Amino acid sequence: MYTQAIDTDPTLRTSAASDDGAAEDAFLARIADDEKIEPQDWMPEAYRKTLVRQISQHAHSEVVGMLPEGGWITRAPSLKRKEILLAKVQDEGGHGLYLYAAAETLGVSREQLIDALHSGKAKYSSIFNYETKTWADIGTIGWLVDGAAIMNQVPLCRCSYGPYARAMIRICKEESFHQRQGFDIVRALCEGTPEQKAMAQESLNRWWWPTLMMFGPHDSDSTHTGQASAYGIKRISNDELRQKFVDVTVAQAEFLGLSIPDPALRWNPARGHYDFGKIDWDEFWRVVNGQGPCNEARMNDRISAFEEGRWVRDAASAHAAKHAARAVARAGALEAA
Amino acid sequence: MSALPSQSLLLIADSCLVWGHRLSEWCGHGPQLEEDIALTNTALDVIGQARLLYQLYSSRAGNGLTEDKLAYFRGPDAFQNVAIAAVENGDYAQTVLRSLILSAWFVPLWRALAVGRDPELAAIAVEAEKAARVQRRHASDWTIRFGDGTAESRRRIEHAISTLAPWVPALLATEIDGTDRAHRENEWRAFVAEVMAEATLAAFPVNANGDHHAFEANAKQALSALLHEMQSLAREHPEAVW
Repeated sequence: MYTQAIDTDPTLRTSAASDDGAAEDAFLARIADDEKIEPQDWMPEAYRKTLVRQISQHAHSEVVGMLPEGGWITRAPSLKRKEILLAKVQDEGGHGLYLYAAAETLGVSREQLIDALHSGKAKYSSIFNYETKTWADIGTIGWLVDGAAIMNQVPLCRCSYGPYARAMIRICKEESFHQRQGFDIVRALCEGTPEQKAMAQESLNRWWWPTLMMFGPHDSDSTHTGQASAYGIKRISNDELRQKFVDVTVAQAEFLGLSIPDPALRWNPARGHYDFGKIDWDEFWRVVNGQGPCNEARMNDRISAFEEGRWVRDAASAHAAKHAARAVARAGALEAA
Repeated sequence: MSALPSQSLLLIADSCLVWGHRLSEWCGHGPQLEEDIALTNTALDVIGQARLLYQLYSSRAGNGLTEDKLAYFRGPDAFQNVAIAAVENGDYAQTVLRSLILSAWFVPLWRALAVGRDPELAAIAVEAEKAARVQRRHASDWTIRFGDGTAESRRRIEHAISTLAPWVPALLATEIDGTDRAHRENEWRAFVAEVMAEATLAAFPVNANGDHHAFEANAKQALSALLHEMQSLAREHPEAVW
């Protein structure tokens, strides 16, 4: 579901140094020609590392993102909503799976990536460190968070790495369903009882600013964007995407009869865009660095699911090994006979 | 047309919903991503079947009932589900074993209903049987892996068997109009016996020993807690449309 702008880790703000200048020139020329890079192709180490980091961060975000919404499946207020939410959260697990598979084409294993998540070395989208306090949050997440994710992700369908670009095509189609179902939940609330409408407004008030933060730091503070652009991984800047999101969403909020919690929000005819207030980047960095409302709970949930599932995975491996050994023994016996 | 009596419809629908609820509790917490997705799939299958059956029941009752009124505004005393569907998940072995027990019960039930005298129900049953076969295969595969896997997995599946076995006699004794109960029970026994053998486990202990009142009380308590959670938001806003 959710990518967060990739340039939040200063360790990756390094150049793509390579000993093989000619190979790198040829590689960059292919990118400039909009050719896809495939797993068996030569690639600079910095390109591989950037992709591993971005794809795995995206995969982790999908899997951790199952938690805030998953907690409402058992309490969904109608059977139709329950089924839709189940299908949505299941999609997120599926997205995690495609993305781990795409990352594995770059020479890392799913186990290594999960280990990096659990040790705190790898990040995931910080939006999932916020609480889902009400049912309206399920609608708001679909409408705003998935809406922001789509803005981030559609350009990735054209990214230079083939396995990632192809995974993103399918993911974006499903995200579009997720966004629509979220909007539909909020629409139903806004057309419902006064309590339901108030629930929708209160949820928007909490999620609006964290959603704007999902696009990452301002372009002026984002030194990694240049390299990701040169590699054909990042196609549109953080601020451009954020502006596009605000412009689209204001009209949707007006349609719903909801107020966006930003007194500075107003149409700027000279720019042809909405102006909006200042983002609290201190909050963003606090949550990215582990001090959000649910960082600890999310990691505890993931780690305990993984650890409590270890015996299940071990049993599957042990059984597969026994099964294979018996097949070999049977084949040997047949041959001897 | 000869419609299945409404009590039988409710029994099947409630069993599907309650089981689906239990499976959905795993969403995001499965032992690996593939299993998370598989369990969600089963939950979607059975909750979908519950919805179709509630809709059929409501259309026949014709007194303003809806699927959501049936699911959200009846208390535990009105639910007709087979008791084992409401038992808490326990660990993954217990979850898988319950899926084996229930899917092996549902396959012959849906098959009988698919060729039964109630054409509207038969249309639902044709698709439901296909889904139940997939669930049964999935649950069998894992039961076999656990029985014939590691010492730990074997210990856990044996514990799951001893925990869930007391609910099985009542399940197998459940009459559903228009189906041959004894025939369904025989198919269940034959299938489960085959899985137990391949899993290198002892024969499944189907017997009516134990304190049935205690089991029933436990099942009712588990169902009450489940419904309390499931119905909480809907009951907080009884006039709301979602």
